[in-house]
Amino acid sequence: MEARPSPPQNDTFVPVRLTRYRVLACFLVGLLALDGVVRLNARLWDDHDPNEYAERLARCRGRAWDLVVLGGSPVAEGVDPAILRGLNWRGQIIRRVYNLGLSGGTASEFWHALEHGVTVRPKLLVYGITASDLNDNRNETHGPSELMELGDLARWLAERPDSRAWLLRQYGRACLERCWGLYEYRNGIRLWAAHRVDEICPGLFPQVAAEVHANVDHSETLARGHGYAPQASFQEMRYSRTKASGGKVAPFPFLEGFRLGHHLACVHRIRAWADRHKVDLVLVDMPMSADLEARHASVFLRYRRLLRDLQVEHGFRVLHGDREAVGLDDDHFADLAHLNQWGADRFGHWLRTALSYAAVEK
Amino acid sequence: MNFASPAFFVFLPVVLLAYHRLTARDHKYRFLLVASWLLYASWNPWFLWVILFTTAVDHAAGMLIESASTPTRRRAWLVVSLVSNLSFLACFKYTNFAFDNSMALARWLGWGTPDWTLEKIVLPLGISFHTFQGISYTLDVYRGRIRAVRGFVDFAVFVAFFPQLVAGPIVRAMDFLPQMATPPRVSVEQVVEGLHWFLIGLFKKVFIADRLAQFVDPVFAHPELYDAVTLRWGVLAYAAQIYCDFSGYSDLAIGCAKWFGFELPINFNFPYVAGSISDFWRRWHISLSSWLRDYLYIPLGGSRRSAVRTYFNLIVTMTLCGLWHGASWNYVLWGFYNGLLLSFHRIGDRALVGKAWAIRIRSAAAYRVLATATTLLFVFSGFILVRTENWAGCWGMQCALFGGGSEGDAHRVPAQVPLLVALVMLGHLFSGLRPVRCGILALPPLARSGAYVAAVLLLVVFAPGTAKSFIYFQF
Repeated sequence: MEARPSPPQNDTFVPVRLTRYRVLACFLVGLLALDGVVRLNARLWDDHDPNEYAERLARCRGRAWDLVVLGGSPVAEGVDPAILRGLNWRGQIIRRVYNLGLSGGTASEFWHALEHGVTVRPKLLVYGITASDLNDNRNETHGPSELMELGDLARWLAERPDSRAWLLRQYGRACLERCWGLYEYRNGIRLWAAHRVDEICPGLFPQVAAEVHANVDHSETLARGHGYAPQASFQEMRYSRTKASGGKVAPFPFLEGFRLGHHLACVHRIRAWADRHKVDLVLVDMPMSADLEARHASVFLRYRRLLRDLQVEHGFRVLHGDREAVGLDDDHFADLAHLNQWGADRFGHWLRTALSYAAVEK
Repeated sequence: MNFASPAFFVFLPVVLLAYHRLTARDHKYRFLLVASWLLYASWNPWFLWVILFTTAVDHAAGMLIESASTPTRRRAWLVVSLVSNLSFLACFKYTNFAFDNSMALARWLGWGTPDWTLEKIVLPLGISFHTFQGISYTLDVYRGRIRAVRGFVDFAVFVAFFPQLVAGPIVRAMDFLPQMATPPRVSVEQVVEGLHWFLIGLFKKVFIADRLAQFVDPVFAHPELYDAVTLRWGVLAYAAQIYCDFSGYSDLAIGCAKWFGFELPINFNFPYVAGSISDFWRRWHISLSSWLRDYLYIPLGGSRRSAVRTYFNLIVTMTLCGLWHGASWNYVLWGFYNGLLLSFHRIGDRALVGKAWAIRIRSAAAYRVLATATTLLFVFSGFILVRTENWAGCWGMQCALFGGGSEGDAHRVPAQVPLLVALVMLGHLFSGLRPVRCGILALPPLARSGAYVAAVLLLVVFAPGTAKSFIYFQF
């Protein structure tokens, strides 16, 4: 018989070497598993920490809205779609109204939101414009992270060399965040955990629990409704009382270093989009408090001149929702720039009437 | 660049990758040196000359000491190195202190004082640490414990190695330079241990210390506004914060160094389970304590002379230790206080040597608990000295710590404060009472990796929004 070859002496070598990697391997697998669990429950985290821009865009996208109202926080806080429902626009009844107000946004964000969020042609597009939307001295970080696609990125990089570094940083950070679910949803997970702890031991983390409850309510309103989810604090607040009591007024830095340029170009893009899709576009000059206009008198002068130019030279339809026209005073504002519930109610009815007239004028 | 900042999380992998891609020894160390200097310059490029100058002087002094033909010359070159390091430290760290005190003294004596004031001098990053490393190197060469390093790059890497450059541990040349003979190859164990220490350090710093700071800062800023219970929690929270902040940095440094293949000495060994003040100083900032012992206390005579001289040496060493931590009377007093505590402990210890009843009592578990509690009470009392911003606040907190009341209002202590303090205590009990460097390292692989995943989860989800600077960076 032929002798069998003896087994290798170092047959335990491979397993022994592999065991050295066990901790590292288990750690990496654990991280991947954790990431999977986090992504599977993405909705849960979003409910606890709603991403305002993403939520509003998701709700708007793919649905047939008759009227979409674009704009920043003055629109988000001050335009109640329920009041505009039933409006007759050129013989068509407006039944479904969506408030696509993006707090802190500029005209660039509204343009990107329109391009990616309004996928079904509405009957009417209203842009509640204000001076701070056009200030090229500021950029909104949520824009690159939530609203822009690669094409938008390339266009911005080509057109706005002054803010290339900022844009790449914001866009890159957002892309990196999306690579790791745990990091992307960290705030939602934190608030969810606080919510659970608050259920087990009420009052242990009162501030976080209050934040969670507000967020969950806000998230539910955004997910169910027509985009109108004003902040509870703004609803009840009266700027007149804050002033009378000598209380601290939140600063409004969005008009600092006012200059026109690329954001204004996006207003023309919004117009081009409306023309392309055969949608009527109305610009509504949103009301601001008298104090804000007095503080930035030269900015508002320039802005109003621009609006007149857009109306006369470029054929934009503009409704001037200034305080006198609407009948607003400090009692109707929550702060320098946002309407409270009484202001929003009055402004909504004025807007409905003004749009009805504008429809007839057409 | 803060170790807990996003920029560092880009810097570190890039440097690690490039370092391990290079094969030649010289290339590796040159690259590591440039990276370390870059990190230093990222804080303030104008101060790069400080570390360059002291490195050049110490390197030259080391070689000249070794090649000197007479003891006088050897001593002369040693003095050059000492003067160079200490004068830099004195100029940057103590000029304001000396000026302010001399002005105050002049005013007290009724002498005229100038009508101009001295601008606050900015302290170069890590100067207290790298000057001490330089001093230990030249002293060791002078004493013949190590050979002088010929290559400037090798020596400069030892001084500027970025993981420990800013806040230690203070590495001895005799521990570090032999590791540099050939570029150390990183083993899997070092990668895993590096991950362990890096995560533990980050967890201590970001999850515990930075969160506790949110409670500690307002309490210590205005102690008069808080009741005694809140003040006591403030002291406990500060003790947990400073431990986690500093030992967290040391752990980060140890972890990073392991990824480059280097071993740094342990700097903290669960100091809050110490049974006496001398035990505490054997566990707290070990690299500084041992440096002071070897290069100050023992040269002063240590415990080899009379008892009185020993106590004098202890008090001088600890007072200078206080002064090293900060240029203010609070720190001087804190150092002196610790010197006194060490002396009293030594007196008591000597008196009880050989007494059977004392040995019996000391072996009881209840005694050990009591001894630890008493030690911590005095240690925390010392912390109040250096953390409070005025003497009235210091007195109020001391009264509260030792059971007195406070006229401030009762405040609700945030739930996270007791939870985080308890976490630090549990960590000490889990690992500090066993002969291990960290209890997690002794866990089975699955549980160990589970702990790391949990640490990552907690770090990412519960870290405060902005990373605070490490407390020991100011030293």
